[in-house]
Amino acid sequence: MTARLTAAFTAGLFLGLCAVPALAGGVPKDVPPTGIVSAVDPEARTIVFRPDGAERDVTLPLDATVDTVRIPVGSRSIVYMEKRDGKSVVLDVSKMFVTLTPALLIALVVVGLVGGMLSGFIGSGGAFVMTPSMMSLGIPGVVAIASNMCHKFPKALVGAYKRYRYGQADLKLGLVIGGSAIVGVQIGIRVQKAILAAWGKAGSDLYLSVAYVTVLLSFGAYVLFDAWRLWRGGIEVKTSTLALAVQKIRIPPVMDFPVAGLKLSLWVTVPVGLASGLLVATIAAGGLVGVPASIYALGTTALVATATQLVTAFVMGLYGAVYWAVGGFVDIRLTLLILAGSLIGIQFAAIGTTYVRDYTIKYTMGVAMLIVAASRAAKVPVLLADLHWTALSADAVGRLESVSFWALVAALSSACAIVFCATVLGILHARRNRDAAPG
Amino acid sequence: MDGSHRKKLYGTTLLFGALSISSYILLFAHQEWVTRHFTRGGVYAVLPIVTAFYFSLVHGTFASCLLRVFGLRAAARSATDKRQSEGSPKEEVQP
Repeated sequence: MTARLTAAFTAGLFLGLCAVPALAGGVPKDVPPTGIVSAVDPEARTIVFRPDGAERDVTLPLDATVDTVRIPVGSRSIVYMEKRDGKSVVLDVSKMFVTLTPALLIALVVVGLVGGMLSGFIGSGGAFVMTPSMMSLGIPGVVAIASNMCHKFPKALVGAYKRYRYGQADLKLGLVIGGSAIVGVQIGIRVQKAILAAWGKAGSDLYLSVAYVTVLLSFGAYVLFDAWRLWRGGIEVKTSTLALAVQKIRIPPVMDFPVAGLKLSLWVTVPVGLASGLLVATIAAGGLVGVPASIYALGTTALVATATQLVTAFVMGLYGAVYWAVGGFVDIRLTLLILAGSLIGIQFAAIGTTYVRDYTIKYTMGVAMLIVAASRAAKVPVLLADLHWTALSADAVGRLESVSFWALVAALSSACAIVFCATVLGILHARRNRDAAPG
Repeated sequence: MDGSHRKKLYGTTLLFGALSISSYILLFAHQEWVTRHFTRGGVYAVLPIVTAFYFSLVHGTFASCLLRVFGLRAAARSATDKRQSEGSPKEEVQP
């Protein structure tokens, strides 16, 4: 009992410390201004805008591409601007909090269900599925990121709790990795800012796509190969040579991780956390590198790695949620709608993990990673064209965008189909065995 | 599962289901007020965070019970059992 209270107190203190920098940091910087557009002048092509917290209206010129009819007047909006010759020019005005229609409501619950199933099974997949899906449903990017982040920590909490009860999640390992992951997020944000300042938006998008494709292709191919090797060679799980070498490092403090069954130096967990955080800041999917790193660099099983990643996701999610909520960007309605689906999806998938072998989890993860890599790779030529490094016709751009979108849909559908089938077949198989057992 | 356990499970599912649905209805019936106050930022950040926690507790419990009502339960073995049955990585480290 005392040990549990100590663990709970340590976790609470740790999370409190995570939240302090976010609160102390105040309103998130580098996000477009929000406020109310009170008037639009189509002739002069200007808007009258009062930013949040300001006491005076400002008149801003509109870019030639802005459709004045679609500007929301009187609603709280996000105004995207660009500096031209020292003056701010409005590129777009989006209504900050969308009107919920029944179709949008259902779509958000389904998106949550899919993201929850992926998170519960492979320890990742929520953010990189949900944020683009929400944006394609018409939700402004910054609100989609913030609302998704606020849904991430309760979802990860429920998933981590479930899998902890099944004896799969190592709370201590998850919290330790989570601590360094927060540092990784900060490094990732700074790297992105530097690239944005040097090469602009197209350069930043290109960097993100190249990071996506490189990480997912290399890790995805290896995870899939490992799953195939396990499936072909029976069910024997072997620790990688790298992990065996890492486990021999004894630089203090050396910590005991009972659920993972490992004794590791704190310092060997730091690169795993940093890499997870870096990926969260870059492609919003820390688990895609955190889980393989735990398996192949630390030596946990895929089952423990995916479960422990949920603890890390909870830490990072809470940190991110506080950060965005302090800025007032969380639309709680969207958060709760995706939560409605994802809490069912994550628990269904958590049950599924107790029926499947290690290689099924690796196989699902490998397939999802490779198809997502293909989706992002299709966008690289478009971004190269944006940087004027290559020429592409409008038709070719349209086709590549379409390939990218449908590859992402294929990745999600196939991963969910594998999770669903593996769970149902596992349950049926277990029931048959139980019925056939003598007595 | 015996009769009394089943009865208790159905009762918990109904209780948390009703609580979850009524919470959703309450929030969406006052969505304009909620959105206005929950997005004020600063110390008001506590509102969306606590609400998300509350819904994860209530709706999470409901979802868990609902899956059990449908007969979806975890297999009765832990990660340690699986590790033993699949060959332990730790065993590989032993000299």
